[in-house]
Amino acid sequence: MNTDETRIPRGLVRRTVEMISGEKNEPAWMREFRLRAFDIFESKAMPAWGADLSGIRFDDFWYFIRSARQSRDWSDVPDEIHSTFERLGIPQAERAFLAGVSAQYESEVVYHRLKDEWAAKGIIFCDTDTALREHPELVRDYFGTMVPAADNKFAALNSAVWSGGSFVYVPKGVKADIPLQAYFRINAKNMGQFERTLIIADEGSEVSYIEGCTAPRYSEAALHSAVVEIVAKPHSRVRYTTVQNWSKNVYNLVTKRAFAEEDAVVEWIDGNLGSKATMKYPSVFLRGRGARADILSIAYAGEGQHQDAGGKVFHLAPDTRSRIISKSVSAAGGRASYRGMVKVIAGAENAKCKVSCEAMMVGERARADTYPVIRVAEPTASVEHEASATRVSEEQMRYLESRGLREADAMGLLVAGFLEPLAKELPLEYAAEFNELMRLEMEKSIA
Amino acid sequence: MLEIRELAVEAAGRRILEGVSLAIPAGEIHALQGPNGSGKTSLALSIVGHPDYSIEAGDIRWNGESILNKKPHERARLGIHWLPQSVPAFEGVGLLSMARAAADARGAKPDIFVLRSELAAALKRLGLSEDFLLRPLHGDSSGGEKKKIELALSAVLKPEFLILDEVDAGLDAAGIAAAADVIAEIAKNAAVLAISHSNAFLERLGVRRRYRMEAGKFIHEH
Repeated sequence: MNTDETRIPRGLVRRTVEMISGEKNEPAWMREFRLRAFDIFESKAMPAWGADLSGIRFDDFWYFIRSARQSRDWSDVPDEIHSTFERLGIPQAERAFLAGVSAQYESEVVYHRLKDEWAAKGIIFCDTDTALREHPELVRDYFGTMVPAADNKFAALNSAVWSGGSFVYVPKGVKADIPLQAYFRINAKNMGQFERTLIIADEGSEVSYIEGCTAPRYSEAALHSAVVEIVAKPHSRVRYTTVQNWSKNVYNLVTKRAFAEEDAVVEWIDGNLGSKATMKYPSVFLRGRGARADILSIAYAGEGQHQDAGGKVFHLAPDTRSRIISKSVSAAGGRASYRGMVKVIAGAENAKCKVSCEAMMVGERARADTYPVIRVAEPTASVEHEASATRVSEEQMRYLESRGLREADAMGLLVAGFLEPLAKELPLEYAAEFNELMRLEMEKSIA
Repeated sequence: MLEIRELAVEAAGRRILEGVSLAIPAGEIHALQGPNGSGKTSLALSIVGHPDYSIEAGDIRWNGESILNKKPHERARLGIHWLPQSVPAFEGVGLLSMARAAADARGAKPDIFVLRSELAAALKRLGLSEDFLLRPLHGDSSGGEKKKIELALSAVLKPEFLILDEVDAGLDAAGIAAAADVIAEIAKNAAVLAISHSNAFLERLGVRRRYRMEAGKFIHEH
């Protein structure tokens, strides 16, 4: 441990929240927001559904660490993570970053070049703390609007102790032609446990945002609770892609919600590969006529993992359309749950929604379940729901073995194939790693 | 050289092959004929090492060494390739990925761009478009298309021993002609055992020997 860092004492009390806000020199309204959220957090019970969260001890965590230099060294990183990096052939510099050993990465240079291009178009892309200092009005107008602190216990927690995360503003009519990658931004500063991301797409704008990576990411902190808010103004288009592969000690409890105004399109692409337990249901409120939502939720649950993921859409206006596709793989005793909500209010005429969830199970101990909720109060609406479960067939395994593939390689190919809708949406460098990763997971699950 | 000596095989507790012997050197195509249920496919499955087929007597030797103790994927890695009568469909796995996985398994590690152009050329010879490279393998292909896709895969993987189980079934006249050309090309450097009901197809392949099987035994060869 080095001395160039600030740590607010372990545990969570009102004073912790005051200290965080004070440390950041925040305006009074944010301090108030945090303190109100803390009260809400204190008053709310743990969710009685979803993943088993009984292992979470709120008092054991550090809620604020600012480090000027790297805070760990290689010997602290578990062997399993080391060997996975090795097998994936990840370059040394990148490994150090992914393992949390280094906060710096050479892509910072790339980031600065891109930053100039974005600035020329009026696009703001920075971390949320910076945005609060440099663009206070924009932040204040939208912060906590899509996800109020009272939404759920973990949204309240994030609202009280948030740090970091991305802030994006795309002006009217501007199209960001290259995806904004948190990868670049995060590399410039260490990633936080309680990230707060806010994306504002002004009228007629277009933006695609990508965060996370397929390579496993080691985190000492066992609780990650982020909030992502998106507002898609009329005729705008926002795509938000996440791939998380946290190490298997992490609880990943994230609230993601978007407002889609008239004719706006919001797409959530959400890949959950790592963590001990994930609870994440990206949602879209279709608030304006003709708004559209597309949610692709992909989950892989290996040994000791529970992925409780899915999507939610609320049809609040006429002619709104939505699609939720969920694909999950559970292997070696892992559990994948689809949890979804489709709500159509009276007056949302001709709303259309399609939900499809497919589960693949590998091995006898794998578990998959679905918890769909559908509430339709509008007679002209149409909502379709399909669900299916598959297992790898004997015939497929025989075929692949006769082509020279070992059992693990064959499984890896089949699983990667099943999850291909995710790989297809990812930038090439992620997709290649993703396929290799699935092969490694299968090797572990068979051994 | 593939050699089978006095092979006896049981499946589900029943003797299904008895006293089967043959030898196919590289560069030759031999044919296996006989009524349905006589044991032709059982012989193919025994060669590739299907676990439901238990070898009770005799031996299967590849280049002078017994392969009986080798697992199916190990036999494949020796260059033994089987083109089955029916193939499963794969979601999200295209022909190109499959070819790459199979080539990698044999340690070939081909350049993906080279592999792609070789596969495209093989598909074209068989009258199929490049679209089949990336489509889910055997997803919504017709019976004839599946046979051609598998044959294109065989052509690029360059097996040293190839078993064809009724590859001509489901192909039209033009398809049969194209398939025969591709097989003849493979057979320049490989031993081939072709199971087929069609004399015309076998003649076109230029087979050196024919075995006729009934009730699990070779009753005739010429």
